[in-house]
Amino acid sequence: MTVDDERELRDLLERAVPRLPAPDSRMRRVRERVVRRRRRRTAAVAGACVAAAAVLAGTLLPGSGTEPGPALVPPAGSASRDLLRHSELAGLTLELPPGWHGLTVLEDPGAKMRAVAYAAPQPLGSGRDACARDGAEVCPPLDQLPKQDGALLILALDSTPTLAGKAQSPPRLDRMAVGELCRGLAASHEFYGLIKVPGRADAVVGATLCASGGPDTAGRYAEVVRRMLADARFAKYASPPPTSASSAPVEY
Amino acid sequence: MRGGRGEEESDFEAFVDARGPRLLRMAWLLTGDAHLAEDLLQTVLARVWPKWRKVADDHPEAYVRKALVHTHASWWRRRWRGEVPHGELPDRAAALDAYEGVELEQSLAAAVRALPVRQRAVVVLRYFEDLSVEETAATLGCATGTVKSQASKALRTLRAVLPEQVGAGDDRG
Repeated sequence: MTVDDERELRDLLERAVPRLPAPDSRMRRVRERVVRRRRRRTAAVAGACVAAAAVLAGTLLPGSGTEPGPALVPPAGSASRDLLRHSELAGLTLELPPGWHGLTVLEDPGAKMRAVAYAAPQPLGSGRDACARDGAEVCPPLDQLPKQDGALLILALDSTPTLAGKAQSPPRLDRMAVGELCRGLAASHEFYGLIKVPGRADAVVGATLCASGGPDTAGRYAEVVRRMLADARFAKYASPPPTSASSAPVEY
Repeated sequence: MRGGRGEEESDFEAFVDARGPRLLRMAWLLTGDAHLAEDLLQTVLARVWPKWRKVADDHPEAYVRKALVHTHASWWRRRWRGEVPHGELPDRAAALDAYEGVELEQSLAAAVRALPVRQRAVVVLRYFEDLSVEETAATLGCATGTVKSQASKALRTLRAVLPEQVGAGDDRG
């Protein structure tokens, strides 16, 4: 490589690398990330303590080691049959229809959308198996939908600024062309909707419904999900207060 | 030794204000995408902030630069970073003049994406941040010979993708 080559390259980079504006919300978002990291760490430590206590209890309590029972420590996500709540999706809470299953994933390092909530009429896995699939926006908690009658609702926060203005109340759920995510689940139908987050002009919750089976089956699931989304609730969103010299740097 | 948390926070914000634009450009060069660049920068800043008291006393920009390169490499290892569809292009504070500038930016973004992650890091550190071969090697944790060979390979690729802007199109590597 010659000196001229190097000079040309330096000049090119200086000219062509764009000077991007800093978003006004950068520091707020950095603060939020710091708080989330702390919460995750705290939760991980608490989980480890619970696990250790469970092991100790199993070891020390007479007779307790012989009884098979449910796992005391849930996997990374937590499942519920009645309510689906997700603290990282602006506190989204959905009431699950009878027979539906929910799963929240707080931190999915294998996917682009890290914090995701799922709901489906069939049981869900831990959400970890599919993370090996490279290029995934999310790591769905199942490999494929049941062929004739299956559905998976995927909820993730989307901070694309233009989307907030497009979200309607009650949320619409529109039929879409089947995209890569739903195709990967062997779904034959896809629907998409946006849920407004009260007090947030910078984010919405995107809802993708993948459904298998015929149009009637898919339409039935879409209707169920529309009703579910219409009743979506959020925890009150608090903007970070102005900082002061005496306050801790990241605790909001 | 620095003062209380308030002072630490002000210091950190001042650093982000002052060096953020340059760091964001560096992140853009690593990712080839404006949104991913901001995401990468925020990820790194969120990791650096809790350690700011230590970092601030010892060449913080070098620390953040290193964190950007390594975080980007870890993203690359962990998952494919595809092109992100945008509803609209991000605004530019000081836009490159005219259509030619935009074309050049897009060409460079494509060229950057064509580089393997290690070569990309070498180009960023060596030719955008203007670090020496030794400093680049120290930042990446590799030998100086590796930096030289990666730079040479990167230049060959860039010549192929951007023949008019880099070199005469011949391989002088």
